[in-house]
Amino acid sequence: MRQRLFRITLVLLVLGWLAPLRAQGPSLTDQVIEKILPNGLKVLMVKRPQAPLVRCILAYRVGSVNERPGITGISHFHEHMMFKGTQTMGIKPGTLAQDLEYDRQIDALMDRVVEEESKIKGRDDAKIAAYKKQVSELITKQKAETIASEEIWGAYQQAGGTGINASTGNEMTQYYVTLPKNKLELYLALEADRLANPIFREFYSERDVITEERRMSENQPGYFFEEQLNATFYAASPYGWDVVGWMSDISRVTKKEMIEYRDQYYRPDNATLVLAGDVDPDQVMPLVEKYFGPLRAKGKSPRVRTEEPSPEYYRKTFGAGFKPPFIEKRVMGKAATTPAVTVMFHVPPLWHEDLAPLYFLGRAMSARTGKMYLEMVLRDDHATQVMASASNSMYDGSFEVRAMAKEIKNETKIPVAQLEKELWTYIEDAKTNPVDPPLLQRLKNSVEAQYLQSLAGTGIAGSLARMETAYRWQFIEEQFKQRMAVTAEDILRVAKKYLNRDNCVTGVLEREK
Amino acid sequence: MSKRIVTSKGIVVLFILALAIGAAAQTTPAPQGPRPDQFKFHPLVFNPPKAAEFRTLLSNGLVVYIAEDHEIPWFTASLLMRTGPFLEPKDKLGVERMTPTVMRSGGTAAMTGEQINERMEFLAGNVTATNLSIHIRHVDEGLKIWKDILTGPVFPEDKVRRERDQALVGIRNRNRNLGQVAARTFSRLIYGEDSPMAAEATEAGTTGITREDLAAWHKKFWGPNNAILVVSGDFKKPEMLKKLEAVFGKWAKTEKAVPPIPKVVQAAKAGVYMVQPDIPANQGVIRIGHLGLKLDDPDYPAVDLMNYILGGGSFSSRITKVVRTDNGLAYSTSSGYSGGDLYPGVFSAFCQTKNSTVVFASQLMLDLIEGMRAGDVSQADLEFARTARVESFPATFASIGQTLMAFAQLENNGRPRDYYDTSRGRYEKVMLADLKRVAQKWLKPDQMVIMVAGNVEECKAGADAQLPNQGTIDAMAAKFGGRTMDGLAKKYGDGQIHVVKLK
Repeated sequence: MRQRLFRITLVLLVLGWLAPLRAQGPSLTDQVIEKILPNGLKVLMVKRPQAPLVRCILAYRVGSVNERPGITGISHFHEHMMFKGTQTMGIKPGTLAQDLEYDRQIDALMDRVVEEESKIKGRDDAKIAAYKKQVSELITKQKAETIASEEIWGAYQQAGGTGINASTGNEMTQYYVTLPKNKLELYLALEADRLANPIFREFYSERDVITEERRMSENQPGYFFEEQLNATFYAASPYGWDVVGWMSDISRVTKKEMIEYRDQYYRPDNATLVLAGDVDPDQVMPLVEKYFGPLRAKGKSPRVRTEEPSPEYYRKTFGAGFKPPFIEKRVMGKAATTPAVTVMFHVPPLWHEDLAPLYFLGRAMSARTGKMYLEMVLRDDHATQVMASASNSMYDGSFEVRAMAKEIKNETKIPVAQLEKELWTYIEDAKTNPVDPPLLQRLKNSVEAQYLQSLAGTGIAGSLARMETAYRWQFIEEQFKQRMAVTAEDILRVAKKYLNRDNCVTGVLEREK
Repeated sequence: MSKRIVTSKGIVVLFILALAIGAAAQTTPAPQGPRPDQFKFHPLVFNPPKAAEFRTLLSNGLVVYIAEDHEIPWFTASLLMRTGPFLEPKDKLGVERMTPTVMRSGGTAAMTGEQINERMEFLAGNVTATNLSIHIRHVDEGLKIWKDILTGPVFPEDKVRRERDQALVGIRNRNRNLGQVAARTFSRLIYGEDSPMAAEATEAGTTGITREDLAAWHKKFWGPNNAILVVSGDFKKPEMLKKLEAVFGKWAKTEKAVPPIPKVVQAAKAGVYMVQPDIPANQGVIRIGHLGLKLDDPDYPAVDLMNYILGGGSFSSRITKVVRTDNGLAYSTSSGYSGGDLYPGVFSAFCQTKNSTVVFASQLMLDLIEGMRAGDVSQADLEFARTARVESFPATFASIGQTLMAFAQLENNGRPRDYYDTSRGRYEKVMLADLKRVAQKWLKPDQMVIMVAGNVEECKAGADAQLPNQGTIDAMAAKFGGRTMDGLAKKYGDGQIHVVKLK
């Protein structure tokens, strides 16, 4: 009875909270103007006229998840190469034929280097050195005679661009810049040009840049451990390697492989253009058509076929009655950083009905007002931080629970093995006891507020690019509605379904002293 | 429309020709694609907003920058506190940083930190000692909680201890982070280890920080006369000002935080310094530079443009083009010339590269610095840098929040209020002769500190014969006294490689 009364009060409070949001203007769907070119390019525009600027993103549905062993890291490498120019950018006027000839000779020599380096027996280091010397000489000439370096970046700087960059993730590669609104035509011309006509000059020095980029991560204590933990968790799925790729692949991938790769994924029908800011669709669309319209549709890009063989996968494949083999995986390691215990569970992709409850399971377990934080961190002082979260990924992803150990003078307050046991008591608790209704309500309030805030400003451009690439942009709003409908029973159900020993990998990291 | 399709076909043909028969120029179709100079742009007239439109005072003198923003029903406020580490007791560094954290985590007489967590979670807002972000409907309650945190924090022992423990973990981890070791060591070499700009918390000092220290710091400096309040959201300005007056108008003044400004001289002599972090690093972090100038120096705009060309202009800068694009030595490389508000800032060229190319990359950067000093800079370079700075100016005011914060920062840093009205003009006045003059004056080989954080033995050994670009490596070696670090030590310093201890 007390419980019931409490719930009624809560409903009243909640309604009070929601009222102003409901009264709030148009929904996301009303704010986004969507156009699709005959060649499949999707254009999303959002008017945000507060400043005479436009946030521009061109997103491609390609990332490390589309790679395979041997070419890991190629999506990211390709992203770098997209700044090297085209027939008219990145090159001195009138030198195109000469430039291509230099590249042809350099590529031929470097293919021989890779061939020689890949030999298991009888590798001839003198030969390799001789090839490399020739390459160096050719590159020196090419730089002097034909290359005009970093012209695309420079053109955006001259146009007053800010936030110029690109990024590659597991599922998406995006190129972005914020420009004064009068520079949009330049933007569209340059982006359409590098989609249609990129030339991968300066390939080998850029490869070295990327090896340095990977080394920067390697020098962060704990990086190798995290990389191995992730690789162990994903036995089959291409989420198992980092976006940057394995060093051996980065240093051997060929330009021919990169051209084949780009032909599969860099297509107008695999891209989304997002413009948010002081943008007038009636003025912009003719320009989009002028520059992107002539590009030819190439059909659907290949999708990932490999599925992660989790217990859920076996049940799906062999029938609900199938009892998967019990397999529990552990990764133990040491690094010069804070000791931690991580447990990762296999969970479905973002469009799956279980994702909304899993999202709240993560929020509830990591809340500052939740049991795990109040007890492990505040009461017992065994951990300094506790975290739990579900990925929101295109293919089967992870639900991760983590505790960072409390240390006093480089000694953990309790042995890491005990920390792991304690972590599991909260995991078991989540499978046994429903989330407290007031906590769930607080979290829903927060979800609603975050959604509201995400609709302001030009930050929406990034969310649209990301969701359209992973699924479809309308799902931003649908996912929000799904989340608001989640009950404590739903959360309990998914906790029981996924937080199991045979569905996880445990990572135990101790301090390297 | 169909014309363009032919264009992309053309490229395919071109590739085949080039690859199959090594296309001669006469068989190649004319290149297809845009050039930036073929575009004409409608002029964009942009006048920056004026600080006075937003600035006002509460009755106790608290400076407020305020603006309406009706995009969503939200309220955002920040407090800039003008305290700074330079006023901290030297034996208890860390008090300044820990105070606001424990003000929030420790709660007030009315509410514990956990009760604030729970209430704010329900209201779906966020409050810290210096920020409030909340739905406009709950702004009154949010402001009350925030005001209590600001004026009546209780600093419970348990929360102080927790913060102290975390600070100690930070101190123990700081020598295991390559970038941190580099930045901290370089600061010490430039400003000296006793300078407030470089002094660091110690284990002993941090262990000694008590709740009384935090309470005393709060009492001494956390007042309206050391603060600037920045407020935007879905409200009517006159009504919100009344609210702010009711909440903050009686906030009592404290001692004025006036920083002592001793004369700053560079601590380390020119030369080579190396420091080995407590991890097996496979890269070295290079910092090359010296003490710089203050932001209000009349030379600053010219120095800024000169540095843009040298290493500040991202991918269009010389350091990035040579060290990264041409030679593939680093993902991250650049130079910065900061103008200090109270103290002179620092000139620093930066690069993170594998151990075997540390000397080579250092030489390339020094070569570019020397080239700039020798007057190797053109009118086109100047125009490029100036255009980039002037054209990107509107981005400073991209949103209401950014606009208010830009003005509040100006005042907080003691810069003139019309700074933005005049800044484009200052850049437009810079002539090529000014660039050449400031390069001579403000790039100083006789004060050049060349510092490397990394594996000392491997980094100082220099390039081996397996690396690409042996021709360029040889050219640099000829200029700078060989492939190893010793050449640089002789050219710029006393011939010694000074190994600096970790702190």
